Amino acid sequence: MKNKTIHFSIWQVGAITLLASLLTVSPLYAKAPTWVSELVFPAPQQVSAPIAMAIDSERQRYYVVDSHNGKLLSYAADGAALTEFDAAGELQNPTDMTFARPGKLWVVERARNCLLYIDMNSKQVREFAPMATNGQKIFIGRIASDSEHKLYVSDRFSGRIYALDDNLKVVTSFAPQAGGHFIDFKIVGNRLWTLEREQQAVYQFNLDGKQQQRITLDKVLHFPYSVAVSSSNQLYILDRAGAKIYHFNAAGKYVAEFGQKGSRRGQLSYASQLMFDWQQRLCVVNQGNDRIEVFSQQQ
Amino acid sequence: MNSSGTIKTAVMLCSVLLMLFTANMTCAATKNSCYACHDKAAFNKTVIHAPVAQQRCDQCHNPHLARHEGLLHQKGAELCAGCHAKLTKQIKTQQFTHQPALQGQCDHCHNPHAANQPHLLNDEPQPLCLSCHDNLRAAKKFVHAPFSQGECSACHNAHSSDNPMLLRSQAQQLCLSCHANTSKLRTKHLNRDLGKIDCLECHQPHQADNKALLRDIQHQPFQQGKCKTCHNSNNSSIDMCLTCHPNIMASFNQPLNHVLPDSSTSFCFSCHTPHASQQKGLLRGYPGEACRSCHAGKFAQRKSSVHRHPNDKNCVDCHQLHGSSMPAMPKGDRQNNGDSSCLGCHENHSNFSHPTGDKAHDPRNGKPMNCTSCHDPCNGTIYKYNLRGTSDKGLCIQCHAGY
Repeated sequence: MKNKTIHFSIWQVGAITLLASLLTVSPLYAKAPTWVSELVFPAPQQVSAPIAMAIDSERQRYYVVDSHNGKLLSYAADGAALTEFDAAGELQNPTDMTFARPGKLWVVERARNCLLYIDMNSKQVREFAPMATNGQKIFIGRIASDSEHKLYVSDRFSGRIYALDDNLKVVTSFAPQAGGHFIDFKIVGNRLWTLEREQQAVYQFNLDGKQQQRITLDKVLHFPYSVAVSSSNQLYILDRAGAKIYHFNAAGKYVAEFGQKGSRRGQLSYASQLMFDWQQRLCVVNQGNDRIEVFSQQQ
Repeated sequence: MNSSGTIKTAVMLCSVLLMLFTANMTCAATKNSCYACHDKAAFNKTVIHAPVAQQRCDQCHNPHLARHEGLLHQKGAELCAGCHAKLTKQIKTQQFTHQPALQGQCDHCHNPHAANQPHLLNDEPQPLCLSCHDNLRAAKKFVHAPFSQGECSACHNAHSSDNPMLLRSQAQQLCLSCHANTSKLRTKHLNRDLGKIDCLECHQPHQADNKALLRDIQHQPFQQGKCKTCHNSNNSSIDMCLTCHPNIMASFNQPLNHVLPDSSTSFCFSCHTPHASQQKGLLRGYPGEACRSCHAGKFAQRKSSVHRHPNDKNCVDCHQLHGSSMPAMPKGDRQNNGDSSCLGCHENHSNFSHPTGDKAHDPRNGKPMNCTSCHDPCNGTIYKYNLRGTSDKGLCIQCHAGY
């Protein structure tokens, strides 16, 4: 039998090398999970420019703040509409809400720049205007409560987060480093996570105000607006103007991004808030598209 | 070597010889032939462009045929970039660009062949600048020395800069390079650190009807010389402003607003100057400058768009500045579906174009359609009329799949 030598041209060798390297490298990229829009609610025309949401993980319900129509709306785990509530017309421009003790809600009423304490059973609504430690009125941005129903508010004037006692007096102040201002925060377990826009950093505090970590994000974002922290301390940052959600690891190293500007499902338009639900699905208040979009992770 | 190899080598050699021959012919033709038709006197001026001086017309022109007008090898600035690469890179990378440079219209200011002005300028520097910037022609009582001497380039870069208004350096550094930091000057400025004061906030850089070149629109206490109204106040935050403007806060009590952190001074100063301005409402700087300090990304994105909305720097034309219930804070209310700012200029457009409002709901998100469903006037796009897609199909099929 005659031996036959096979000769490859330089192009063939190049093509084979490129193919081999792609096959080797592609599994590395395949590890980055993709986020897919799994659930969208409410139905069209039900809300107008929703601005915030709250999640009741025990009862598995979503609550949406409709600022324009002055309503709070609740939805089941599958996105089915349940109830709507306007506190007998007391809500004009609500911009955020959180749960107080059972049967009670805190709502930010922007039209009067105050906090409303709403007793769902007695239908009683009380109005408060908390003050900062320097005696200046707080311009309330976001609110949240911890497992002991203690209220936390972000102050748009000072760029700080305050923990308030039952008399709405400031008991703890969460401050960024010089020159910074917090624009969003989340409470996960016994930690408070905050997003600082100017220096593009995420801070982690104990609930007693002691700073645990300052994580600098290693990618410059267009207009960071909201933060969500997964159960494994992965950071998700919403870039409102860039219409993207960026995933960073616990050390602030960029991992991945998803989302694009638009109106179709999965696309973002002036999104205003990120939040994880009880299944670790990422909920996005897709304000410009009048909907809440729930993204789930797929490998 | 086999016969096919010999033929290949021969063809290659012939090609090289032919190229050398034709190139030589072109040079020879350029040096000897162009002036046979083109008047040589027109190229004999004080300053002559290097290729013209070297009689290398072929560096820019093809003597036989070309795709571009004037038998040019390439169009506009692309041709100039071939030699002026460093300048081209600066224009592309710096934050602020002179409009003709951005649009590649080098010949707006320069003569490509010869001129009687340095840098091959079409005219003397100041008349050339004022041919576009004619708003500076109006004679005023007080004139800044470099401006009266026609030295625009004493303060401005002609092509691009990383400083607003194409300034050569940061405004206060530029001013202090001529105006010595003396105790007299500091006293006039309440002994503030002059290196940290934005001189252009209060002073006109060219000419003004007010002494010390102060800007026309002045905050009342400043105009009356009552500095202590604000500067002696115990409160430097928003409360200082609310003392005289108590009702203004209501305009911020909207779901979306421009309340900004004000830990050291009032957040009003992010957009307004407390002293003097040329803009109504004492807005800072030229139109859009106050907006750019936070929305720099928007301005950068717009810069790269092919089709941009006229006057797109005048953010105030379309946007609410304090607060709004609608994303992007457009002017008008929801009853107008967010289109009020568009209809102010395009009042008849709705008569002949796609229905909007409750007559047509966007199937992508169920919202009533408005102008921005199809147009993106704020960012600009690569399509005519700031459309979000091609007007024939690309845009329409997003909703009309069977189109």
